[in-house]
Amino acid sequence: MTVFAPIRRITRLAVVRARPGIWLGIAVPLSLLALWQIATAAGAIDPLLFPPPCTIAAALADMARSGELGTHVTATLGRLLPGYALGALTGTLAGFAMGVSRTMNALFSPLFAALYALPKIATLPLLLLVFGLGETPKVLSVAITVFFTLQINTLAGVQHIDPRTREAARSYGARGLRLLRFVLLPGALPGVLTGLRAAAGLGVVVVVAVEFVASERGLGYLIWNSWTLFQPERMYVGLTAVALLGGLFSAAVTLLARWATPWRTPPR
Amino acid sequence: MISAVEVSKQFPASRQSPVHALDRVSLNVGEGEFVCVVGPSGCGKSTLLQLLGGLEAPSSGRVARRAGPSGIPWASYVFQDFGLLPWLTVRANAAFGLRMTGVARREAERAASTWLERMGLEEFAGAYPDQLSGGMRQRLALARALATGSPVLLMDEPLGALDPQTRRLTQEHLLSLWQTEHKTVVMVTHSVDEAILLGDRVVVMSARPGRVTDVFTVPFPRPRDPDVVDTPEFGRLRARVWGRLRSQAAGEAGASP
Ligand SMILES: Nc1ncnc2c1ncn2[C@@H]1O[C@H](COP(=O)(O)OP(=O)(O)OP(=O)(O)O)[C@@H](O)[C@H]1O
Ligand SMILES: [Mg+2]
Repeated sequence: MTVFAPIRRITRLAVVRARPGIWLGIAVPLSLLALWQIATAAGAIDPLLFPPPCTIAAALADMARSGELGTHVTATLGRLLPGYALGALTGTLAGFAMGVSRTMNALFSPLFAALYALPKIATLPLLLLVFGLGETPKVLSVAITVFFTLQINTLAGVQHIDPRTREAARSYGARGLRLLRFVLLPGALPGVLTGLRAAAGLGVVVVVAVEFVASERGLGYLIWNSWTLFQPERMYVGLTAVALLGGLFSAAVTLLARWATPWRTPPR
Repeated sequence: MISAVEVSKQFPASRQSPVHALDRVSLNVGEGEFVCVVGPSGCGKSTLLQLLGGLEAPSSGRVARRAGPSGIPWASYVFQDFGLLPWLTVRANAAFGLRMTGVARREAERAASTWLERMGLEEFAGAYPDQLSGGMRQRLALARALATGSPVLLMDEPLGALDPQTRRLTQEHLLSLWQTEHKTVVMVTHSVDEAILLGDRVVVMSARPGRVTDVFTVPFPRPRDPDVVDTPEFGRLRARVWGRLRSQAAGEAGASP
């Protein structure tokens, strides 16, 4: 329709802007590291408590070469990833079921609300009691935390679907499976992804905490054990590895979120 | 095509007395007729549309619908806030109505693409609704409604969210569309000019509980020239409709021209 040619030109297609601030953001931590290095060299801070970055980097390279770091990373991932997957799957299902079914919501929301107040890591001793010292209680610890995060965020995701969108879909005959596929699932997806992102961070916290107290391997163990043996370089290697792992994990989930919800411009 | 006989609608209010939205409304809409409904805010226009389309059941009274072709939804809707699905592309939104009737994706999108073209949206088929301007979203909502092939089109203030220029262009577009498609249309609007320009009849409703107080027949022949709004006859009809509407809206805040 030629009538609309002028209007077409005024279209506001979102423009993805590159962020010029990214280099400034990298500059700050780099300067801090340099400052740290200089301060230890000048004797301003105690290198026994705060070994200079170069020493830590050397220790990290050593441990990576000997395969020791790899062992710890593998152990941590072996708990984090299965626990995360299990908790995410069950939590999403539970939240979704509660979102679409009033009965399910009535049945479970009081229970979950009560359990939500409990710090999930506090259940670790109970899990150790029930499952012994194997991998199961560690994986489950992660899974429980992730479960609750996903349950609550998925539920919120379903509940936040615009009622006008639902009404419009209904007027076009969306019911049952079609309603699920075209409205409820995609509508709840942003909530699920918010949950996955939050759970990625929490999962790393929980796995490290669990490894502090009940483990002979893993990055948490490495950090804790370095403290008891007073090996600060190894502790910093552990901290660095946990930070990198947590960062990569969160970044992966964020990328997944962007890919899965292309209609959300720009992803927050 | 649609006949509502003495339909009333009450909503059970959470507190106090129930909301009496419609009071014994009777309305006949012939096949291929374009009926516009005007009335003060909150008088039950949207409710009437939902009753006509069968989305809500009347509390009393009866709505009869003449069946259309089988396999095609009887009515399609255009909402004031468009009611698009933000997670579907423009293409998939246009095909949505057809998909809901069970048409396979490929076929539904092919059928819908014709309408995207007619609405000047084919370039944006891969974009998402949030990336479109208001006028484009409105055309997309229209494309979705028309793509189903429904014989009946129920529109609830479809142009209310548009700026004046876009609104005017879209009115002209609707005028020519109706000329070729001959749908049965019921359109709720707040604009008397729009009602007279587009409609075969203009129905005026009273403040809540909504009743039909007047029905004006629009005398201008089809195909209708959009410039008809500048003629003295148009002005006289506008003044008559306004007169009735004003007496209804007295006491009622916020009914705009
Ligand atoms: N689902 C509902 N439950 C309870 N009350 C409702 C419901 N839908 C509408 N109402 C009430 O019925 C009355 C008529 O509403 P309706 O939306 O039909 O008015 P309207 O004429 O379309 O108004 P507007 O011009 O502002 O769009 C209003 O008082 C409204 O609050
Ligand atoms: Mg309304």
